[in-house]
Amino acid sequence: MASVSELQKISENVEQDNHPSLYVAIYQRINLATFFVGDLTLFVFRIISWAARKKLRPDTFVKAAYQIGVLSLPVVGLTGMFIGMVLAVQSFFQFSQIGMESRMGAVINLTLVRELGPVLAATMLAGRVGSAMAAELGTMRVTEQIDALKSMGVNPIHFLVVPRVFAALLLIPILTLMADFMGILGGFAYSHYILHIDAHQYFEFSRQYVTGFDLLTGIIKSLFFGGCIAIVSCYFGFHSKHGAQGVGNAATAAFVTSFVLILAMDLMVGISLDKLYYYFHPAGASLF
Amino acid sequence: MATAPKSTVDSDTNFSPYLVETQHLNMCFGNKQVLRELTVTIRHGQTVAIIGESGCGKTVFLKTLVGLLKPTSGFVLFDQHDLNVLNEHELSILRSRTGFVFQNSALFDSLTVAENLIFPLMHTASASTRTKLSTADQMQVVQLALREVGLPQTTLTQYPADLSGGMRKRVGLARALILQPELVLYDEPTTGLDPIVSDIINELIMRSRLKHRITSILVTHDMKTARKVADRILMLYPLHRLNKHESQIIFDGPPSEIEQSTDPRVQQFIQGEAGNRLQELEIV
Repeated sequence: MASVSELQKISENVEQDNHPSLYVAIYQRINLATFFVGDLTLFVFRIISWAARKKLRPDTFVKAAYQIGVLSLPVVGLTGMFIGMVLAVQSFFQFSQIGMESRMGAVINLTLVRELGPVLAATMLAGRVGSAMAAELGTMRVTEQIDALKSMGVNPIHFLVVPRVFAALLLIPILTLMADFMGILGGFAYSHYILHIDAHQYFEFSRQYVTGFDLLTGIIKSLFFGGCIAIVSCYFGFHSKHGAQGVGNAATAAFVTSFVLILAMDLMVGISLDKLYYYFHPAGASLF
Repeated sequence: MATAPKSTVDSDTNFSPYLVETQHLNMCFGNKQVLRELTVTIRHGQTVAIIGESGCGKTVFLKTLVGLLKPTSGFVLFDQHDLNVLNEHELSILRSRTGFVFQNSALFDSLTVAENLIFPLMHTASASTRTKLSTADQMQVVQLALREVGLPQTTLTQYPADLSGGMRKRVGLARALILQPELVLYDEPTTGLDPIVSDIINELIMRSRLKHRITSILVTHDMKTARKVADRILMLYPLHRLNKHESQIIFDGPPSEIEQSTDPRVQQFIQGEAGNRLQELEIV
């Protein structure tokens, strides 16, 4: 991994050069982006290397799992429920115009398990946990706590990053299932009790259109999102600049970068899984 | 001078009187050079104070000695092991033979004082290879460490944020000494403390040195600390104020000799006089 000073030097050069020509500005940005991607890749390799080399400490893992999973569960469930209800409101307006409101369940539940459940859970995790991770590690860096770890012969990647990455990978599928479940519940409750859609038809159409593969798609996506959030957030925390502003910027950068990557990965993983599905089932039949 | 550096921590030990050596050490941050051609040897049991004005590279030098910063060029030898060629695991083992007292204590703020003190016992590379202490034994060691720095047992359950600056420094000192290291590095141990607490810290450093026969290197601006604690003083000078071929070390000797130094730069520092610096800064 490149030293903190190298990355800071490049970014400071970009910031300090107030009036560069267009070409210089483009070159500087490309240089910074290339360095960031390379450095992040090396950071990932170091995480994998330490995860493989040394046993995970149960105490650090449990602490990270509690922060990431248990404390996020209520907020993920709550937002999932509201999204399900909002989907019901919006779908009803469209579907009632063509007299197909009884099929709303299929659309709401398919959207939830394939897209909104995983993306929503990941976004909440990036906002609630990702920024906190970046701020915590950033503060540890600027107050020399990471140096203190090193000085005691403890590797900070193994001690601080590996448990967070494992906890995020393990718990984000559970958070996604929670968001899915609460969204389905919220969507159904609003459709049935407020919009008076027949419960049997609502779930019958859902059963016809929502397959196990759709649920699996959401879970697979969530694994990518979880890994991305933990790695990106820890990376920005480790490279935080000094001072309150430096730590604040690290937390913001962690959320913004994670969010952009979540959406980009959502598209790429979604396309890849669909291609895979149609490769094995050209007729579009369900895998399960 | 230096014998041939060992490449791994498992190599046979050829006795050297020096615990720490640096050879032609250079350190640059981007285009800015901070350390230039520093060659220093520190004997077993010696207490060395590194003094010099802010920005001259004292802390950087201290951090390179345990591999917290990697030099741009040159060697750091710890007990004849070249830090440049050690892998992370070997470096971890060597670091567990050292203690580091950070400028702002660097206590883990999410842990209580007791947990901070137990941390090195549980997590360092050497702790995993030595016989594991039971929880009761760990608590005994922690209580003893706390007593050695004169803190009450009630402190154990407190968090670092609840302690005063002097208490935090003492907990930092206790944490650095808990594994009975061979080398302790102090980064400005008395900065920001009142004169009485500063003197308490000085006494604690001296006592721990006598009790555990450790080698100490301390970075300080405080001449009282340097005179009282150290048996050798090294003074570094900022590179931007030196000519190309001048040595960065402008004084190296016992505290008793520093007063007699004829170098005006040394005298300016120990007397704490601004001299011509005000004109340089264009302060009117």
